[in-house]
Amino acid sequence: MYVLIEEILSIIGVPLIAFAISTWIPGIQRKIQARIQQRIGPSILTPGFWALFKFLAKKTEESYSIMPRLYKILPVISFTVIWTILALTSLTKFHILSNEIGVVGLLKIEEMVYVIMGSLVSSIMGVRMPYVDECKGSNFLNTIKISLEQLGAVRAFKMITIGSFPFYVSTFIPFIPHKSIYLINLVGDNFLFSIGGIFGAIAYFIGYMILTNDYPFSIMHTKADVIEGPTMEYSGRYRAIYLSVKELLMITLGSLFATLYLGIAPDINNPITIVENFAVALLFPILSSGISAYMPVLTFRQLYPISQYTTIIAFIGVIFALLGL
Amino acid sequence: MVKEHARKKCIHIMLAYTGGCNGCDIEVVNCVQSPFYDAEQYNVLLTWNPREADILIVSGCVTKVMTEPLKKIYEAIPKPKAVVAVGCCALMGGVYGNIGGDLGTSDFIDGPVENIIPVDVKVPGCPPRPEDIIQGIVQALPKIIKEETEV
Repeated sequence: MYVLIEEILSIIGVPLIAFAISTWIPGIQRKIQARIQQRIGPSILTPGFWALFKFLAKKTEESYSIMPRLYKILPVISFTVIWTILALTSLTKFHILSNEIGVVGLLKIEEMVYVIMGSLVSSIMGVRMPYVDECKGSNFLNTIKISLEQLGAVRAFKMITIGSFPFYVSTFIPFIPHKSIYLINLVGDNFLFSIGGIFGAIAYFIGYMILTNDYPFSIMHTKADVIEGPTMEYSGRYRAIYLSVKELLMITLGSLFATLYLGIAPDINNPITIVENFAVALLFPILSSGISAYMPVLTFRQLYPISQYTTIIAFIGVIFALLGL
Repeated sequence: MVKEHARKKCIHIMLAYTGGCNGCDIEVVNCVQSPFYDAEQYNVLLTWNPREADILIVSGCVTKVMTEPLKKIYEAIPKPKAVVAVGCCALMGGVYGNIGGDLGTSDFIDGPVENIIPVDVKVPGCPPRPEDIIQGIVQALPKIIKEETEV
């Protein structure tokens, strides 16, 4: 009976605390960026917490999508997946999913959702300007015309294949010294302060920014083209869910770092680990907002080399971890 | 109670440019994101997504090609919503409405904005001052805070 209560608390309680904390993150980020730009900026609760309630109180409009019901259920899937990852880091005894393969697989689902979103939707804001001289024999006759949301889907796919690769390599590094893929073996072991750990942490942090689509890696949302991208058409309560997904992902990846690299898994029997874990998790969005305030949006030409160099850093970490350094 | 408070604490504005000299657009962005005016400190956030917006700020004379997109953008904003028309062109066509001089009014604009979508607040000026734009946003607030909508 006691074990059952403990498991339920791990599955529901820990992610719920994380979600409550995560509603503050967009506000903290926005405030930091505003202060860097010498502005006062919005109240800390506005972009994350009050925005959530506001979207819940708005009417949900039908989205311009070829399959609206599937489109609307995608952020719910994403939210469930991220919630599961948090629950797994808390419930490390659940061997089937509490391992490297399980975590990477679930994160891949979260990434894949954006590709599906982008390919389903096409709004008025995403329509590109027509090629006006088409009838006069222009060279663009056989060009495939896609909306900006569909372009967002293509970019999301590129980010899955190339962009997020260093992140996944860096999640793999802490498991090497233990010769095990199970999270439970990492708990209580500090891997960060080894040479392999430092290289892995650098790659993890850059990968974190790529996975959360933060500046300067926000090409998927086509902010460079001003338009939001695959998630454009969510309104009302679905936008609230999408906002929750963004917030929860930020704290989940930070929490995962604390579990993997510092060995502090949020354990319901040891509440101080929950505090430590989420304190480390909060450092990530704070650091990334400082960096993104100074960075322009990267183009693909700049993104590929950064991804390659970060992968090299991650692989150097792998080698040091294999050498036991 | 929570609903009204949330609406008051988080206001998303969207800027739709419908043709003109861009002077008003510069002033709108200036009043939200410049260190001097910084409307973000009053929890006014600029967005480019109609699905996220509460207040639509329209600038420009509404050329004929922009009529349909403007209607669609207005329809895409979920209720409750308000429209603020900014600048002379948005209010009366401005120099673009009267471009013909002695020849009469122009035939390539459908504006002013209220011919196309309902306007709640009008902010005159060429371009309007950022203080006036912030005041216009504040005047539109009661509509989006109080208005009931079936959710």
